[in-house]
Amino acid sequence: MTQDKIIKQFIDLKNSQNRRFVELLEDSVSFTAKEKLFMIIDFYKYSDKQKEKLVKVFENDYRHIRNLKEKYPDDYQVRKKRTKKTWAFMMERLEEYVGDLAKKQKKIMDFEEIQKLKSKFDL
Amino acid sequence: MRRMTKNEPTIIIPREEVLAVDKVGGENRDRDIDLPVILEKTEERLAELTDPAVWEKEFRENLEKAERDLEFAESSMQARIGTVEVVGELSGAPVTIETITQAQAKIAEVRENLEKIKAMDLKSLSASAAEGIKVFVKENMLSLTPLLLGPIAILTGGSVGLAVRASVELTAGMYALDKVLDKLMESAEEIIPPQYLVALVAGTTNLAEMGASQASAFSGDPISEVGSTPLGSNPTNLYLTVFALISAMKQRAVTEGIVQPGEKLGIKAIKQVLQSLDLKNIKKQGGTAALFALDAMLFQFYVRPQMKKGDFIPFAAWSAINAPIMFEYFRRTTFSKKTQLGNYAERIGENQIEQLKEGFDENQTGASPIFELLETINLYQNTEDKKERKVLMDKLHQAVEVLRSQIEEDGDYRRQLQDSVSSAAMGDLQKFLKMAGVGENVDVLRSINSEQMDKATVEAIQLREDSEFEEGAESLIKLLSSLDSYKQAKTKEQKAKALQKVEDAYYEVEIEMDWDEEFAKKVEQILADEGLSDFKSAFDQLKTGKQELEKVFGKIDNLGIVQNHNLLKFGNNVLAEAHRKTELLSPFVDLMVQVSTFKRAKNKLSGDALFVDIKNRLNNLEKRADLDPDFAKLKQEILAREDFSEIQKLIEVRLDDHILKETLQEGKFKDSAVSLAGYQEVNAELCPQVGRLIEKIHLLRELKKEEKIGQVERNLRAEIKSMLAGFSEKMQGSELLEQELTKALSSPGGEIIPELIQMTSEKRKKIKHVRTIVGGMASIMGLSVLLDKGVTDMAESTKFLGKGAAGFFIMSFFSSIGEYLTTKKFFERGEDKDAIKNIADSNAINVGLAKGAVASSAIRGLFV
Repeated sequence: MTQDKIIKQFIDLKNSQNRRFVELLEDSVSFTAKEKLFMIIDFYKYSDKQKEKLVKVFENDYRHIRNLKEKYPDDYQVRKKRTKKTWAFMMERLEEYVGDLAKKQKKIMDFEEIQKLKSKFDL
Repeated sequence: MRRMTKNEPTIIIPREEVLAVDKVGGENRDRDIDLPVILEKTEERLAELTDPAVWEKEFRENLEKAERDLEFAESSMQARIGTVEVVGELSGAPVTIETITQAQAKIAEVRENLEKIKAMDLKSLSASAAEGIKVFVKENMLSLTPLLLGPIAILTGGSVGLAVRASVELTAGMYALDKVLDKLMESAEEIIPPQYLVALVAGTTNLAEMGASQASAFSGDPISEVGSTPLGSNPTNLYLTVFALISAMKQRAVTEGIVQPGEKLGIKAIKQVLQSLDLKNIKKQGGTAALFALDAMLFQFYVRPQMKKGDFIPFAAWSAINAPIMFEYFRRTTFSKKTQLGNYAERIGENQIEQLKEGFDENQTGASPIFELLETINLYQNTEDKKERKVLMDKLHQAVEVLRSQIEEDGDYRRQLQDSVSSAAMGDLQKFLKMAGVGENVDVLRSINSEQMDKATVEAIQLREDSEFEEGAESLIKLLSSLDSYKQAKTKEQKAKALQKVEDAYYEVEIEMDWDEEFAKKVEQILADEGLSDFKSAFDQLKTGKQELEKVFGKIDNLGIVQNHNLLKFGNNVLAEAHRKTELLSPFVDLMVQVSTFKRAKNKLSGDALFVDIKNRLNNLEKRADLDPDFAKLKQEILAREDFSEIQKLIEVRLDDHILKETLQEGKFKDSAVSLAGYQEVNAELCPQVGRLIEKIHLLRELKKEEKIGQVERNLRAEIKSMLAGFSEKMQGSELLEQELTKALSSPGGEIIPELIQMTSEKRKKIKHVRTIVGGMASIMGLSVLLDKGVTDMAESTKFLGKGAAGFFIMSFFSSIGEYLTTKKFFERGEDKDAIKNIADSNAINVGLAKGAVASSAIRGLFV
């Protein structure tokens, strides 16, 4: 999976806390796909303390949404589907882009390319 | 950063999920569906929509859905705030907490609007909407467009369910907005100048658009934001104007007398309508609207892309340039008196000018300002040169000022002018003078010519020489001096105080006149003097005011012994009954307090304790009703009301803990709380006041019997007057209070009280207009939210919309539907300039709103 590779360039998933970060974020219906992607790309910029705090924010969000999910299951499902759909769409575009990179035989992106990637994901 | 190794965990986006997502709404995407089937479905839906019950149900469902969406949006906001607090940015754009706070305020605003829509009479709205479907199908193709969404959704592979909901929202919203605008324009014309109305309506429809677009965008749905972006509406507004004109064509032809109502509109008639258009103003205002549209596009296609590249200088420049332009635009077109004078002067027909000239003699003293003004109007109308027109506008302004001061000095002249323009044929001139403030707001009591004042004082002093009239003349002098101080009064407080003195002095004079016939004759003689006409009008006005009040007190004075006895008895009954009802209401009030505490309970423990307490209270309500017939009666009366249905439900389910808890958690008790507060206000506050009023009426009668007139009586009268006015205001403020108070006052003996209240509320009509306007504004905002919601649903319902320019085009159109309807209304009324000005105003406001959108767009993560 090419998209795994690109994400891995930015995220050290060995640490289980970081995995939690990505899982919670990916699952959230509170952020747009673009916001999620930017947070993942910028992950390397965040300090450990910031990462920790962000995980708390996401956990809180998860609890809020879980309550709303119980309260309004149908509405939640619609949102969930939409979130999945836009996230998948984002991933598809990411894959295309990475595909282009692969053609150029480059494996690691430099700073400029990261900037390019960021500007490309403007829904 | 480091490179991955083979064994590290990875995030896998399962392909089958992507595929599953693609299948969302799969059944609707079936391309095999036949066109006849689609048409049949649309027809079925149309048939359904002629049933008000269906409307109401869907209305309520939509409102509930919007509320649920807001809950998600709020939760999403919390997560965003948290993120911004930690890392200071979102989607790569820096965000401050202030902008988030503003965004939160917007959500609160939208929530308030939803409450307002909920408070609207959905029943009658539904009935009208159902009726409207039939009319729309027959008359208005454009309004049918939302109904075509179903087929579009199917053909483009979207969701029919959503499309149908969007249709309902859009059609109902459009119909209701149409009606609200009708009412608003009718009422507003009575009390505010039309140029403000245009800006006001344009502002109201746009603000809602902004609020709604932001709220929906916060809920994390990119597609909904596109069509509602204020700037997207600017170019749209222009082609929408053409639609407005086309759909207004028929009504316009009727207004212009080109065709009869019901007659068909032929090509010839259409030509005539087009010829009747005020092309000069349409071009001028249209040009401004187009400039603002270009301004919007400049932002869209240059400033915004630059911002994406991280260059904020163009945005700063764009904002800096736009702010003064907008300010100047509104200053000139809406708030500048001179421009407005010019606009109104232009509309005055030649025959009206001629007719007014005939009404005055050119050699008549003081008539020259009128002729001067008419001459300037004439010149203004016939001048095309821009510079000259500007000079003439100044001249017009001066002429109006001269005329106004003349009129304020000379009552006869004022009356003559008012009479001359009072006929319907002089409507434009009348409007012009009204707008210019000539004669309209002249306070007769303040505009007495100083010479007349001096002359009357001299005559009063001469009268005082005669010892027989000494006292009377003294009071007359007092009246004159109080009129003089009223004229000098500057602040509101000073004026009110001085007016009270004028009224007091007048009453004294009148009492003297009643007392002494000879003195009365002398006063009449003074008033008959032609040179004292201003003074006479002032005297007349005071007399009318007193007569009106006299009617109230005459009614009190003329109560027979039996009636008076009954009134006293009624007073006692009202007090006792109110006291008893307040006591009977207390279990309901306590219950409501506990219910709302339960809803806010922070932890499970207190929640459980409250639940047990509420359960006991519900049981007690039933028990008490069994034992106490009075309580049973009140309970039945209260629970029969629709707004208490949630409490009724609690009582019904009280035996099942699980359902009761669910009902408590999910129920909306706001309506019941509001009504209960209304009941309490009537019984605990207003009814005791009625008791006090009756005591005072009784006291006044006793004083009259002893012929003790003087300060005490005056004070009593003033108190009674203000109490009655207070009741009338309260009753106008709330339907429930009106119903309940009228009910409380309807028992035998008390009939006179509602009559007295009615007599005191002479301002009722004006207050009603103000209420209609305020209510209308709130409804427009609310309905715009509903329409925006419809647009969002529409965008989601089809695959075709929301992608590419075509979707954007159509969505922008629907998000500007408020502007379309307003413009259409103005066209129908033949007010072409206002029709286009509405679009220009709206575009100008949009540019301003766009700046706000940029600020919050950082939070949405969509703009930059």
